[in-house]
Amino acid sequence: MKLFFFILLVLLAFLNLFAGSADIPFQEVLKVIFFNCDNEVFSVIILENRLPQLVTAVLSGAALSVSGLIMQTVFNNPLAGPSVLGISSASSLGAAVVTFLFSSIFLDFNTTFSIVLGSLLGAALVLVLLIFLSGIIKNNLTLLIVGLMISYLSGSIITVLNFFGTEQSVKNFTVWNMGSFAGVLTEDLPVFSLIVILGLSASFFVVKPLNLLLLGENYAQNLGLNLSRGKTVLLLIAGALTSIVTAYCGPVAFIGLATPHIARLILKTSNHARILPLSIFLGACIALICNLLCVLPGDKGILPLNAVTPIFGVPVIIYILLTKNRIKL
Amino acid sequence: MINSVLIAKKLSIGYSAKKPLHSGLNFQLFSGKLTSIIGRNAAGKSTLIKTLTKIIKPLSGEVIIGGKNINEISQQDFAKLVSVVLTERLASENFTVEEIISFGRSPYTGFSGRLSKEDSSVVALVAQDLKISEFLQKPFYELSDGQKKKVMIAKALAQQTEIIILDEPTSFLDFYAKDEIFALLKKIASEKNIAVLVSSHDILSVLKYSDFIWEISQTGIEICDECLIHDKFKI
Repeated sequence: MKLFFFILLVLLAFLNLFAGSADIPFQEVLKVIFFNCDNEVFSVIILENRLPQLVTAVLSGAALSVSGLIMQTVFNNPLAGPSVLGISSASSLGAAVVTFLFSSIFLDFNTTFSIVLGSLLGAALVLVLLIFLSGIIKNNLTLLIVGLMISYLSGSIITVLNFFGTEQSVKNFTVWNMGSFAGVLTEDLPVFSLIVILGLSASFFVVKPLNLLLLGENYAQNLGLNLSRGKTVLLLIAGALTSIVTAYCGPVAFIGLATPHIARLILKTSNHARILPLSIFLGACIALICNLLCVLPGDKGILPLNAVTPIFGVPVIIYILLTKNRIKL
Repeated sequence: MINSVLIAKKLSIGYSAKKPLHSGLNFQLFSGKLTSIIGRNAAGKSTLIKTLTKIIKPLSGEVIIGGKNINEISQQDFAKLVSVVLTERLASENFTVEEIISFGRSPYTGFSGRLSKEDSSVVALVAQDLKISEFLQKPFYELSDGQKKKVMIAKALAQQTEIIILDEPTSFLDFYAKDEIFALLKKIASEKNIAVLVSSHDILSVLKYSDFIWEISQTGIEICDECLIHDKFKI
């Protein structure tokens, strides 16, 4: 099983190097990867475009899936995911504020950097707010609704900003908002990778509290879990993973919500010691598949990521809603 | 000589300090004894159980275990003193029976939650004791309600605490299972020298198996005489 998913991941990774909007012959790609290629253009496209995009997709898919898994367990809700709780919508709001307000003041503003910074700030603010609220609001459903309200509020502010924005800034924001794994530039890749890998590693240290929370908060407490501290740590990990990916790739929908369910279906257990590693692998695979689907139109251009992710997400959600058994988490 | 493991002094319980459900409660739990709480719905049985298990804080007064006020005992240490079986369903039942019982070892395992050899043998022994070894690998959601309760009791035993507190473990069970659970609790108390506190509406089993019976009502907790109960319920 482990071997199967590993081979699948490697296969998908290679496919991602071979496919793209530029038509590069098979042998040339192999040459670039394994030898030195004389063709400047090909090696630039593959090494500075497709390769970073591949790494970004793998890391983002894994990060979003782990974040979704943690959210579903902490909030005891099978429909929770990185996009609930307002974290990714607050990211969007932060990005919108920066693109619309600041870019009109400073004309030579570095757009990529500013969007990343803005969305990280937005996510961090909401995360701090949520952790503070989770100490006061004991009911998980209430907290989830507060998150939803934050999403609506951010949405409406974004619409207003859009209304007054310049044509260029509206375009910049809209492109970011559609999602893409091409957003991480080669020079940003080390920082992005470091943060995601740190977050993913941290998640392996919280397998025990995650499992205990699946028994219910009272049982978890009676088994030695310090609830408020445990939940804060879990929200921090999930929030950091979501916000770093959203900052660079835009609010990517459905991957974080759907992957943990697919992992539970495959393994027929909810034990995080087994679900967590598989979610990481599956998340990476699904992100790579979505990225492949994005470049299907070939030289006509690239599909937005968020147009492709529902292909995986929607069937899974419908399946969850239709099954009447209690194995939803 | 009987040994008291939990002492409550002038204990007030409830959800708001202005309107305590009960105040000035004084009682003790004894090791090796099965104590049952009876009382009307909303009399405060669950509130009392939640207070004694540190799920909610006492409004005033103290609960003392091993000479220490439970407010001053860390969650991790408390998990080795008192284990609990609640009425609520598990948030997820997508675990094997063995995994659920193993969660009882959480207070003893490291951050990864991996069981040591000793932990695994405790789990195996508990399962053997409760005669559930043959379905250790079954998923929890496939069990009957009676079997589920037994597994949760096994989890509590795996926690190796000197006190086990159960909130209405026999509700929704057929009368064979009710009797079986109470017989099991009595056996656990006397053979393992554990203090067992159980709330129940199942008056027949309570009378048959309890060492002490408390009735909780508006006036507080009263230790009932068996004959009094026979009289009251015309049994």
